[in-house]
Amino acid sequence: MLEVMNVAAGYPGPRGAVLANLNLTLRPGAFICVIGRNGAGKSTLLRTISGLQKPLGGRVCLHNVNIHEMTAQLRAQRISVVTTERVSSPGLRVRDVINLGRQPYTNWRGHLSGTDYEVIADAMRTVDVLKFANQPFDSLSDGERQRVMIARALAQDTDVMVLDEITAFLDLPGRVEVMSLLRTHAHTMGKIVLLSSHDLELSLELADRLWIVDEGKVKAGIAEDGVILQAIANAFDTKNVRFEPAIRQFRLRDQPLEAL
Amino acid sequence: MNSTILASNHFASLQRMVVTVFLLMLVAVIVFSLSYGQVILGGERLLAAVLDPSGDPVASQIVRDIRLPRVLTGLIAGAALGISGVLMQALFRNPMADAWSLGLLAGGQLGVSLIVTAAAFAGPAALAFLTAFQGIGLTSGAILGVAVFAVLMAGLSRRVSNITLLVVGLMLGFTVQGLVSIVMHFASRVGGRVYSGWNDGTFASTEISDVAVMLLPIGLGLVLAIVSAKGLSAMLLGETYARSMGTDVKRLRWLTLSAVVLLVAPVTAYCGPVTFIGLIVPHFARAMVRTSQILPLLPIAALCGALLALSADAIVHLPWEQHFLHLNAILALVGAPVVIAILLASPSLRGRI
Repeated sequence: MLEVMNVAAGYPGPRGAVLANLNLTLRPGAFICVIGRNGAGKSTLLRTISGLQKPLGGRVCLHNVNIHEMTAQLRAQRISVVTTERVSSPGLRVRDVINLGRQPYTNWRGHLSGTDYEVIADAMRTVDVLKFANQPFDSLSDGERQRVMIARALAQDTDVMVLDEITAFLDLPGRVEVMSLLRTHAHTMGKIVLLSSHDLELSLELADRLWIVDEGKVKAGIAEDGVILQAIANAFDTKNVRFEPAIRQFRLRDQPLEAL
Repeated sequence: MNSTILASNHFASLQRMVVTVFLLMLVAVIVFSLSYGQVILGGERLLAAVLDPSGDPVASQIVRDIRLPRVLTGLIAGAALGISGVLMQALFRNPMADAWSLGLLAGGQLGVSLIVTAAAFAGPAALAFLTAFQGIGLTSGAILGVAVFAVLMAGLSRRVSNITLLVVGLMLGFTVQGLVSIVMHFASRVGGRVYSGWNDGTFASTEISDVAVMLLPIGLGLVLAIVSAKGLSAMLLGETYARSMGTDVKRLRWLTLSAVVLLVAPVTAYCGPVTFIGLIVPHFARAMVRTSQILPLLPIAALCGALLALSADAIVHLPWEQHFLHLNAILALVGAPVVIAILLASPSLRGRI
């Protein structure tokens, strides 16, 4: 179980806390989507929960151990990360990238054992990237690269996987595919998968729980929850667009409901 | 599963083949360098010079006192520069980074020249001391200079783009060249042997005892390079991913910079600024073993660096009519076109110019 206790997340100095008084619990086997407007603090939240950034206050505990007090190596055995950052690394093949996911477990020179190779092969099969295992990573499309980075995170074999805006470069079928793959992974393997996304409708459809990040706070709940739907409406409504909780879709303000 | 293991075997055998070919070429260049020069020694005289010094004192003196130190220095310096290039390019995530292009060699030069000048001004006792412990004094000066510049450039690299960093590094190099030349003008009488041929790189100004002094820091640097290899491989995916996969990036940065300083400083102290080797060798090495993972690259880069250094040095010391050629002139003729080709072929660099 991953627990966020009284966490203030943000940056030291004048920028200060972006989010404060966070108390959240993540249970094994849960696929959780984090949604919110640009700049609301989704990335800050995910970086803090994944241990890449220290909280300004409070603690993040996995199985009752503070993740920010773990060694980098131990934390990497517990939490894996996929970001939206476009990685370019000439000279790395797809399998090299995925092999790197085993680094938290390998010795000083990164020697891969038979077990490591099995985990890697499983990860590649799960995400269906075996067919371009020997291709240069840089020759792949955005969607394929993202799948490889997910395979690398799967090879890391962690209890928690944190993915920040990874579907941004994908087309709709690609997004559905990646998100349902991660959801299946959470459900079948009993892992915690935390994913931030701009895709509100898909998130509502697929997530076990939703976190709405808005105005320095995080509201957690299920998609059927009226409070959550209202929170989404509050977070996303603009002058011209509003979220309609009843149909779980956005519509233009001057467009009558019956027209849909 | 099977294909995975097969691929890794294929990789290992490719690497073995490259190493074997390099070693053979290296031996050929070494034999050539020991036998050719102003005096050309045949195979028999060369063997006699090495095995039975009293039999042929002239040949023995040429080989043992002049050519062997030069060849060993080139071998060690080339290998050290090649490895440091791999480390720098991985750490800075910049395919054009190397100890020379980012100004680290210039830092070493500055350190050495300041030590010599300081000793000269401190008086004959200090100078005598420096002359007595020349190797250690110069190497510490170079280590200090390279270290200061390395930390400066590492700090700067987090604020500016790759290209800006490169230009800053090259400008630092020019600045130091100017400074050193001025310092030399005033201190040349006292500095003596220290500055011989110093604005140009050369492997020819060492004695066999200097080689031993060079080896110690370089050996230590090699150990640190091997230790930091795993983390640097993770850094190929960027700092965020490296951290998420268990790399202590701060520690890695210090480890790698220390390795670079220890590898490069002795080369600067004894050979002056040797250009291009650290810059282009990693590209050759990557192309040859078809990987950019750091650990398998290190031995290849060492061999490739040694081979390039010795080949250039062999050309320099061919029996030319008058003087020897300049080492950096040969390296520039090979290196500069390679750099241009890499710049034009690399999408990340081409895009930013």
